[in-house]
Amino acid sequence: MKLALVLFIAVTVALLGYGYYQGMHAAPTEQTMGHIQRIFYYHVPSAWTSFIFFFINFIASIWYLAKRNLKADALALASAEMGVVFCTIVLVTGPLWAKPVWGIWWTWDARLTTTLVLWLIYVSYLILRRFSDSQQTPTLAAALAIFGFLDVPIVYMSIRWWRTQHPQPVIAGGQGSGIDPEMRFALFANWAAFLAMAALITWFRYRLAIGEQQVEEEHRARALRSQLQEVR
Amino acid sequence: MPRNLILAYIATWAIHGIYFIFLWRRHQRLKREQEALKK
Repeated sequence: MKLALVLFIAVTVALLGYGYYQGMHAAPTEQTMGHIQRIFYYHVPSAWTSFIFFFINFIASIWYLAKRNLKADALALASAEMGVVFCTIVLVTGPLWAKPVWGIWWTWDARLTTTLVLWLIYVSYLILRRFSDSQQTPTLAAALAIFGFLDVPIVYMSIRWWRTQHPQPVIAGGQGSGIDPEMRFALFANWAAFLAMAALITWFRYRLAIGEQQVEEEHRARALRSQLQEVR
Repeated sequence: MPRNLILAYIATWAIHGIYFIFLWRRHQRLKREQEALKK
């Protein structure tokens, strides 16, 4: 197990290095925007990674509601945190790219607004989990996560449904869309690296959440035992 | 390299760094609680 983990960490670090090289050096420079377009190799894979982890959170939340399985709850928490981390990166790198290209840091267009709403939904989810002491918290959080996930397809489709300041899709965007094959390769190399890193961190966070659940269970059991002794 | 590209790169890793610190502190706290329960 430990060897597999070490190997996975090594592969992830190698992928991150390779992704950096592809995005910052190997990929051709975009003609209109110049080097600033290279933010694309962090911005877009981060968005896709956040969607995937919000989807994992969605599935784990359904699993928890159906089976009341604590492992599902731990997975839901771990994946939501990972999704928020990557969504934060999207919301920070986006304006840094927008300012030199559009001349503005932010605009309330459909893609940007729905992405901000998505981030707020999952931050609310994490705040609920962090500060609510009730035993109903996992159930409430799971319900919030299921409704919250509805925003993910809206974010994804926003640039297809509405005219936005945000560029039209370059991958799976239908006729007239597409990018240079070398750029596409750099994009997918970075996405693979981000996915590997996110999987690694989520696994670590999942184990941490399981450990926290066990400690909480033990505290509850001890409190119950001491109450029973007092009654006797 | 444009300034905002460097900033975006730094921001990406800074956000991960903050999360790593959060995870590490939580991991340490869990270890302390587990030790306390063993006693």
